[in-house]
Amino acid sequence: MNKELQLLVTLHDIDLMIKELSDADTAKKVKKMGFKVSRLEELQTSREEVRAQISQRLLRLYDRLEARYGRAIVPINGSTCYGCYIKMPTSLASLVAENKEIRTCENCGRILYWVD
Amino acid sequence: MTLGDFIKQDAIRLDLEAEDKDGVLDELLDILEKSFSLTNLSLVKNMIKSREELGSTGIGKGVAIPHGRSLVANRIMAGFARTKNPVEYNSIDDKPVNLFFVVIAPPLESSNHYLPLLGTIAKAVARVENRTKLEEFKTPEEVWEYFNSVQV
Repeated sequence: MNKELQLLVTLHDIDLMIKELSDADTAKKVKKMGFKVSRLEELQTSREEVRAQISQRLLRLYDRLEARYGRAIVPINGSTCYGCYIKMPTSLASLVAENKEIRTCENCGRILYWVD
Repeated sequence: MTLGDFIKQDAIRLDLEAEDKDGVLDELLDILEKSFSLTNLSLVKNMIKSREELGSTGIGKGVAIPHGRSLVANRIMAGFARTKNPVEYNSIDDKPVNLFFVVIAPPLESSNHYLPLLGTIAKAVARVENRTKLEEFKTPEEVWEYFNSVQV
């Protein structure tokens, strides 16, 4: 798998966690289950460490897509982008498979992550 | 739906030999790999470790429920494991853990089962009689039969 795509997925998962637990209702439910979610600063530090390993060009793309859509990376399954649900040309879909390159959806521009 | 619908018999392992937190996490991910064909385990492990930085998923009384959402997951994937010996896990009560559930979910899932599943597990293990059952079951089949009795 492409190394920068790995880092982007890791960043995506951290950002998703932060967003989810920033929702008061979700945070309340999770705490009620008995989980502690108090060390946000440590998670933010990890986030910065991951971002520091990604090229500025990709970070700008990621941040722009996050700001626009709320999610910069979306799954592609078969040849369908799960951000905008447009079917990719088969030639692109085969390039995205196995995540060896960083590719974006030709329609919505989101970064694509191939999922089985 | 029941807990058994999410944690299948082949996602249950008893008497793990892992002796530390990292070893247990690797075993739990191995369960998900075998049971759900989960790929890119290192990415899921990154996510779980990030979640642990936010706060230990060791909720006390010998139970831990590492969990989170990841782009790598294409559906909810859950498993259960019991270690032979308790493992240090930085749990909220500082006690070691030998009962482990793992739950990972996609970023978006239309069924909305992820939080209810976590809640059901947390509620079930809060009761000492349920933890005792999980400690004493001899086979994954027995555990799964119990999980089939727990409504999500």
